[in-house]
Amino acid sequence: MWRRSSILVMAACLAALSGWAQPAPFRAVLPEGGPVELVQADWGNSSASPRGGAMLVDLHARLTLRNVSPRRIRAVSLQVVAQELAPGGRGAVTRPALDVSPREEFSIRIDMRLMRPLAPQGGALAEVALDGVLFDDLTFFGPNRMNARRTMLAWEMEAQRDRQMLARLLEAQGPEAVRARLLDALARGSAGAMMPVQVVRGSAPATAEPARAIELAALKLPEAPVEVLAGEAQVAGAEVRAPRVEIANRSRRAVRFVELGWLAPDASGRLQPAGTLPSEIHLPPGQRTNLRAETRVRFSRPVEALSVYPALVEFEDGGVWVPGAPAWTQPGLRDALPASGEMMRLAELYRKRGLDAVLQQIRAMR
Amino acid sequence: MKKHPSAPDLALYAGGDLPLWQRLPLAWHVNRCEECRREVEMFRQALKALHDADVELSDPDWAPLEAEMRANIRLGLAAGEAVRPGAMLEDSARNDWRALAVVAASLAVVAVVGWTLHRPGAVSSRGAAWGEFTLQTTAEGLSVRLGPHDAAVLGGGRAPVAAAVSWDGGVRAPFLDEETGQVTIYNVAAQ
Repeated sequence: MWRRSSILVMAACLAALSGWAQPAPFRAVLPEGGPVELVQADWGNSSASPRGGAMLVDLHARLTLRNVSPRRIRAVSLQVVAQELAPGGRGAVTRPALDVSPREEFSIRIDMRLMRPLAPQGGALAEVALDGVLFDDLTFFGPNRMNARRTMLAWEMEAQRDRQMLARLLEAQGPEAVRARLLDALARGSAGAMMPVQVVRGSAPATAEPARAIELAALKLPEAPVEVLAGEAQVAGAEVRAPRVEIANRSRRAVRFVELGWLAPDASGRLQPAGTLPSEIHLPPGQRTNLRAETRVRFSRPVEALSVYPALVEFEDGGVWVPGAPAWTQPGLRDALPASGEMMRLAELYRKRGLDAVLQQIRAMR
Repeated sequence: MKKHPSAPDLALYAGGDLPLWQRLPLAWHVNRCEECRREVEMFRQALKALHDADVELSDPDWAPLEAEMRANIRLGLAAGEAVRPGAMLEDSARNDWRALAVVAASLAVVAVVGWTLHRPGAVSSRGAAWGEFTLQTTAEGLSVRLGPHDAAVLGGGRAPVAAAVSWDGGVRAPFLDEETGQVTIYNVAAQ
């Protein structure tokens, strides 16, 4: 009797120990003493399932956070890691356009599928961690491993620019002018917000279709700290190869990052976004450099021409530049440059809730 | 297991590539289901035929394979052109036979290479070595594909309001929550 009881007790202890040692499949880690704290992590129907030699980690979670800093929060970015090194194993989720006051709670939804090796690596299947917080004075907190600072700062600057443009439009020409601008953004978005794109690393094989060199059209943006001087790419049908762009730093500050925006004409000849070329560089004031990409980019239709413009510049001192309002006052540029994420958000808000909802936000967030 | 297992699962089972917790219930089903047992046997015979052919396919390098496929397709097209009526040569019967042999050989190479690139178990971190990613909108959201497989899916069934694919690998896409009107930006690095 005693022997049977002791076996049962040992089995129960082992079961408890194994349960205790089993790591939670999903984990959220926020730094102690940081500006936000975790209130609740709802992992919903998140799951993991094997596929071939890999495991798909399907995250459908909602994290509730609290602002424990004395400042208002404008944006928060979380990094989501299923595996550190391999492609498709790491991502980031950023909530811009926030206005969270001290002690206020807010939530971030994560809908993301990532990959990790099938072999057990120990630890959680996926871990969510804070990558950065942007405050209303545009100061930043966080490890910035996924370059969240740049993304959030650019979004916030574009958002402020577009809300101010719409507010000025409202004052000068009334609500119907704002409505027309939102309808234009919706029309452009539905016409081709995302051209299907395939990126292939490495040079073209010898048997590939022969390419011809085309000269890139450089868009001159007013007040841009970086000027696109010239550029060329090899084009073979719908494939663009080995683009090379020469740029010059026209500002008084050294530049450490440039993101060039690409535009390609659609079937009607209207320019549509065709991706970006980000480059980490060191470019002192007045200097020139060549940006290259050792990739091939395939579009869904043959490419006859390409335009390129500076979409984002980050300086060595941490400052960020995005195209300013003057670019949108020039007819040629206004039709060519893609609408910002904030403009698309406001356009969708108009579509769902009407003009009054948009006007209310423009007035509240000026 | 009430339903029949999917063909990919049966193929993985036949090759011994299924993890233990999936292998056991599937083995139980296969032992009792004549139809699935036949399918597993077909997969095993195909694997055996491939092994017997002594073809080295364990570590495909995408670039040479792509070049080889393109070359073979062009060769096949050229051969097809040669057997086209109106392009007949004097010894048409002999040329027909040669051209058809070339076409058959080309198709066989393309089939073997294609099967290799899509074989079960090929999804791994080696996808990076293929050096290719594709961005496309699907019913599940925005799909980032590495080679022939989805590597990441963003947005949980919604379409992005815009997307920027980076020419050096990666994607950034803002999504709008229609209930709250809030925006979420997803970033995935494909390298």
